[in-house]
Amino acid sequence: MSIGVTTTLPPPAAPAAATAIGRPAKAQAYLPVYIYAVTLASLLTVIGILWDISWHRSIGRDKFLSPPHILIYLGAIFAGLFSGVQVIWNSLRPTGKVKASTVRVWGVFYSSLGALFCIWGAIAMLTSAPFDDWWHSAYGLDVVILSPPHTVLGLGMLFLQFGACVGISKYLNTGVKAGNILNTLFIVSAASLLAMLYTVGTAYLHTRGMRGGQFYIVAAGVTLLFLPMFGRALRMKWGMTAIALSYFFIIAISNWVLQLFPAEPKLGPILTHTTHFQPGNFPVLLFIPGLIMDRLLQREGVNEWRKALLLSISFVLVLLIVEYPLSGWLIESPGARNWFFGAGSWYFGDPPDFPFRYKIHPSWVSPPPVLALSLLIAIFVGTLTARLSLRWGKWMQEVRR
Amino acid sequence: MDAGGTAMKKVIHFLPVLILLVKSSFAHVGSPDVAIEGMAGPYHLLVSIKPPDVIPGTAMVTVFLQNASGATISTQPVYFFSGREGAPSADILPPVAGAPGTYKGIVWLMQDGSSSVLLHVKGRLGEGELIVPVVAVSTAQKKLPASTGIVLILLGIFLFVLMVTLVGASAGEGITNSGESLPVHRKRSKRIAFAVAALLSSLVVYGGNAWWKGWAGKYSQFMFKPMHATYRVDGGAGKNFLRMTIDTAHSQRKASLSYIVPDHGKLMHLFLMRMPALDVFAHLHPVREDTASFMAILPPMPKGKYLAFADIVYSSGFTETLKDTLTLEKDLAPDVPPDAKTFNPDVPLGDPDDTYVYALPDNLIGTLYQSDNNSIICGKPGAGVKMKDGSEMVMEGPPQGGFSNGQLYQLHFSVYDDKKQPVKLDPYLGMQGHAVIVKDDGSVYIHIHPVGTYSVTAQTSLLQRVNRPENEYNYPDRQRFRDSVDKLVTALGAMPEQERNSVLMRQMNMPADSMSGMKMDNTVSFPYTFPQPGLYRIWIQVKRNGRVLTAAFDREVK
Repeated sequence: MSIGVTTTLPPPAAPAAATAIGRPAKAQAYLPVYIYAVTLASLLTVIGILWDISWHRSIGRDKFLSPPHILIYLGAIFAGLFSGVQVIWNSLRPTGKVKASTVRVWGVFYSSLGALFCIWGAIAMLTSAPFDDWWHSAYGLDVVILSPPHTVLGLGMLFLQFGACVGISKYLNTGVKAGNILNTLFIVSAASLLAMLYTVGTAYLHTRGMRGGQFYIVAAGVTLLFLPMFGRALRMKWGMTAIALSYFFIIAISNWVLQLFPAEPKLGPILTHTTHFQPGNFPVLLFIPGLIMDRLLQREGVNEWRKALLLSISFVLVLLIVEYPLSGWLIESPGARNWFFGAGSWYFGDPPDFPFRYKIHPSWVSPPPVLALSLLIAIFVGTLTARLSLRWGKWMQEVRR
Repeated sequence: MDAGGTAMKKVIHFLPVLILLVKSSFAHVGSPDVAIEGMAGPYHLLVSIKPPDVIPGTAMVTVFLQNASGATISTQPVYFFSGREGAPSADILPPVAGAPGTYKGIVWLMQDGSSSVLLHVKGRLGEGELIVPVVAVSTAQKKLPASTGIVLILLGIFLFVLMVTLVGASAGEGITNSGESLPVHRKRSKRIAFAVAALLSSLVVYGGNAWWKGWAGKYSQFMFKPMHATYRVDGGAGKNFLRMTIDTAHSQRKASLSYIVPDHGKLMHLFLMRMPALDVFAHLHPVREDTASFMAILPPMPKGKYLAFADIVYSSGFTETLKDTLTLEKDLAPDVPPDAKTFNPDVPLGDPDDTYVYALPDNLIGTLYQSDNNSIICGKPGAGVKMKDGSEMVMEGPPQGGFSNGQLYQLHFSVYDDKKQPVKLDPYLGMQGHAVIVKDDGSVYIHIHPVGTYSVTAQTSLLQRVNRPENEYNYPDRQRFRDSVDKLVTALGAMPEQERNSVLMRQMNMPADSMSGMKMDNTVSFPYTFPQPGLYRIWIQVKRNGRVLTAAFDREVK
């Protein structure tokens, strides 16, 4: 993959702050450990969520300290501890450099902006734990992804992952020379966030919904709110493609690895006896529209609304061209029922002979006029979110502390 | 065989079908725990199951192995819907350290309705299985515990403040070059960001709260809601007719009412107890007039306000108690037995198995009530109860330290004649005896049998179910089903008692240890777990020499 700075995006700011406090630019090559820690936590939490969902679909029986839950909460503790220790360390010995390069919080603490997001995320994730535990005792064990405590957990994870991106952006924006490490860390964090979004939104972004209009509206709204922002923050020529490709591999590798491990359903009624962890959906091929969108931004002028409109149109149409036929093939073709595509994956509580297990149900398909209208709505929504995302990306480029 | 006999044969032939559909434990109010004494092959088990109060959830299973040691016990939740094929693999029930023969663990119940726990026992005596019916319904509406609530509120406030802070920092210092002070325009942006963040966060909290309330609302709709009935007393033809109408307008199960099936040969078991002293007790068997209307003939009961507990069993296996009250404005006159002149075939006779009794607290001994033919004196610890035929029932216990709630007990009763010699009891509605346990405020009620707190019919049907591969059950035509049940109940009612007991026992396919080889001596025992502390009245009904005898005991539970 080629990595370079786009000519159309503003270059990183000069390391003025460093010189202002009289430190040589070379010293800035040092990256704090917390940056590595929160990036790793971003990845661990999303892998934990993918494992947890597969656990529910393959074993069913769940408890507070199940292995996937431990992985998720470890991610939170890991990120929270490293960010928190960094803040406490800065606050106990606030040198001039620290005061100049951090954000002062409540008159006492000195923190990088990214660490603040990570701390918020970690605390939200840990808050969700007793909330979720009580929720299960009051309303029953897990049956849905989107419940109030799960939403608190999901928001926490998104903040943690976004905090990692913001933390890395500080160094991207201040011209730190760290080879490809910064780009790599940013891509991992951003891709984790994207994987998280597509996982939380599974109900609306499922393979079986890709012939319906709703999928394109939700996909455009969600993806275009984040991907252009990431692309702009990363300043790589093929930034969005790299992030979308990394999202693909996070999901795909999790699916490939999970199904290697044995797992048997432990909750009745069991209508399909499965023997291994069931993989999730085959990931959406976002890197294809990502490629087009990167190319487009490389050529496009300065009008942000025009860029947003073109991003949206290209995203929605390319997604339609790619996913509409692919989803049909994934559902119906025996060729998709293998470890790579994982189309044979099945929830044990559903009957194995469900007539639409390998067949598209007519109700999943929007009639052409409805689909056309939905695509127009998707383009409209996508334009708005892409415009917002481009502005957000600009803000990411301005992060200095 | 004559035509009537052939018709009866057809009806009896239908019984296994009905029994097959039943798959749940017996009805109760406020006493959800299942207690069962039974055989798993060669192993004698006493089992206590505490079902979850929220579904999906986990049931707590405790097994006391009575006649062996060192055996391995495992559990499997089995649903009627999917049978053994659809059950997860068995989990070992861990032995309790320091309590030989005791095993304790959890079983996961994922779906509401009826299910069961299949116990496997393996040891030196060989292998065996015992199936325990369990009703899984959501009955609890839980409030957030204060400590959790405080922790969540504090964390919530912290997150709110931190959110506003970090959004403000994002618009201010966070995008200001290192070492530079905040420009004026950015200070303004920061203030605006503060305000917007506070507003949006408040909206998120408000929306989240509304979402939570919506969720709680949906859950409360899903919760089990008992049915209710209204009662009316009509006089006429020298009888007191009790007419019961079930309120179907507000019922979750109105469509199921056509599918109720007989238990112990009766469509409904109605227990009336006069408030507040629970001094008058009637066990009636109302007959169905239409889907939601039932009728019984009241014995000459004294006026007062009565608690009414009506037990029904659905073909789906669900069992339910309708708890209501009824008021008798005046003392009822005794039933006038029809003679040759007054006999009218259109006027129904009372069910011959209906019974009623006065139970007097021991401080009323020697009063005029004692002279009543139906009066008994409540048994206190250490005292037996003199019953209608002069025999005496004695309750063993309480154990050292008295009864405690949440503890599984075997309640033992023995009957002696006036010479203190053990008597031989007869089966009563196919059982050694029936017990009704009710807390003094009426908040706990259960109708149980010597084998446990569940319906034997339910156990039999589940036993048949686990050995069959079928998946879903399709309901038959409503009218046809109801008519068949009515014919069956009539046919059973018309049978001589011995034949009826024999049919009920045979069709229930009782294991040799319990029913077909039922030991009919002078004792009767009931496994039971008192769910709450308080004062309980225990009504015991047995049969001797063709007469139903009732005794009552008061026991305090800590």
